[in-house]
Amino acid sequence: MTTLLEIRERLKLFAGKYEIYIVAVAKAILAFAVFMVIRNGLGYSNRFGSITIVLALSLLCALLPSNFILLFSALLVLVNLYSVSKAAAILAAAVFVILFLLYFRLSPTKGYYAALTPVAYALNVPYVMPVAAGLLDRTPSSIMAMCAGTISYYMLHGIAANASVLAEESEDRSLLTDLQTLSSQLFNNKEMMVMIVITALAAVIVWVIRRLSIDYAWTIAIAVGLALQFVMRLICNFQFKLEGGVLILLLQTIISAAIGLVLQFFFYNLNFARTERVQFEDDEYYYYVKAVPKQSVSSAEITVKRFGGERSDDEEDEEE
Amino acid sequence: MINAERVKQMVKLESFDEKQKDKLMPVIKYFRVDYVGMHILRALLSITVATAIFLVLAGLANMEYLMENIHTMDLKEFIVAIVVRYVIITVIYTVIVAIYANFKYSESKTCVKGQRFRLKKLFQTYGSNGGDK
Repeated sequence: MTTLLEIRERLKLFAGKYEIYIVAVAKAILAFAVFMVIRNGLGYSNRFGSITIVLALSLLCALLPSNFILLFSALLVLVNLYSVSKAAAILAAAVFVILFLLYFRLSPTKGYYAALTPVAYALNVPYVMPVAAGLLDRTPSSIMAMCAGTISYYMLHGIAANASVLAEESEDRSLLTDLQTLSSQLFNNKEMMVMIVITALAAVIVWVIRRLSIDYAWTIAIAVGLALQFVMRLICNFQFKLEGGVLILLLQTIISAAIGLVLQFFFYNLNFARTERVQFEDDEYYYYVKAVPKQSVSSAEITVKRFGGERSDDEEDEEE
Repeated sequence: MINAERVKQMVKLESFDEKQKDKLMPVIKYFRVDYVGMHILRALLSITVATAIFLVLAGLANMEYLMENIHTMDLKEFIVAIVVRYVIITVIYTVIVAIYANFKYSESKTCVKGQRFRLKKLFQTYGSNGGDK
């Protein structure tokens, strides 16, 4: 444990020292992950599907605000879909306009969540998003961003599943019939509706629990949030006959719990055994204070003693 | 001699100026009512446009049903049902936006109050002639 705490302290120091560069690199990696999800799912455009374009856009995103990741992602999706079917591009554009309109009113600075959600779905760990948002956000306003990410993922998933049919030229089909088929598929996607409800509910519950003044609030919040998602998804799977077995769901929940605990270790790690409760008053108020110390260690200073052999340059300098 | 307390306050003030100023100033330049009202108006506009696009998509998704039943449907009832749903969604969304705007305003105001308090403490470290106390 002490070693882990030491590593954490070193990482914190490192992050504090090189914050600007770390944020830029993190943005570039996130953008690259999102663009790769789009490329692998909808890589229909030869011109915009190349890895060079993806890399160039990711590097550009490192220097721009996080919402540009969403903007570039939307443009990439539209360009790719236009290569397959105009109807798919029109539907995607309409859905993006709705999402942007609603998203920017409530969570304009939560671009990371909207971008990370489809990546979490692609990596098969969607349940970690509401837990992470509930733990790390000051307000649960990122729900809108996560819902936007969920809708985008399922819409693109649905279009990709029909891509081969949409790409074929046929006299029986027109732009209108294609639009009709795609929008009908989107509106009748029960799994998407279920995931939106589960995500929103879990994020609120995790946020409420982790703000409570109880011991191990974060651990309880992670456990309750994930248990709620597991049970709700299981019930919905049976109720609406959705895909996904119990074992896979359990595995996804365990991985999400592990990620949640890593977040807890880095952002919350408290020593509840040393909790102190004090009471005092001033002219206007009586104060009941509960103080829980953070678990931390000062990183050990390494001193190297040499017995015989060659001396280092530093030692020689000191003697001079 | 360097005044440690003054340096501490100045560092905090400067750090606030760099990080928070651009975020908070556009919020607290309004009165609370005006700020929340502005957000509500924008939310109304956003939700109306979003609903209009949604209705077009929903119409396309259910076009077959609409074409088959449009002659037998009670159009008045149909339109009233859509308007009622629009009003319910708009009210819910607007209330959420109003709560969010109110919270954001309070948070910004608290931050600026803390900044003013630090500024006051900094002034107190100087004497009446501008030098050290």
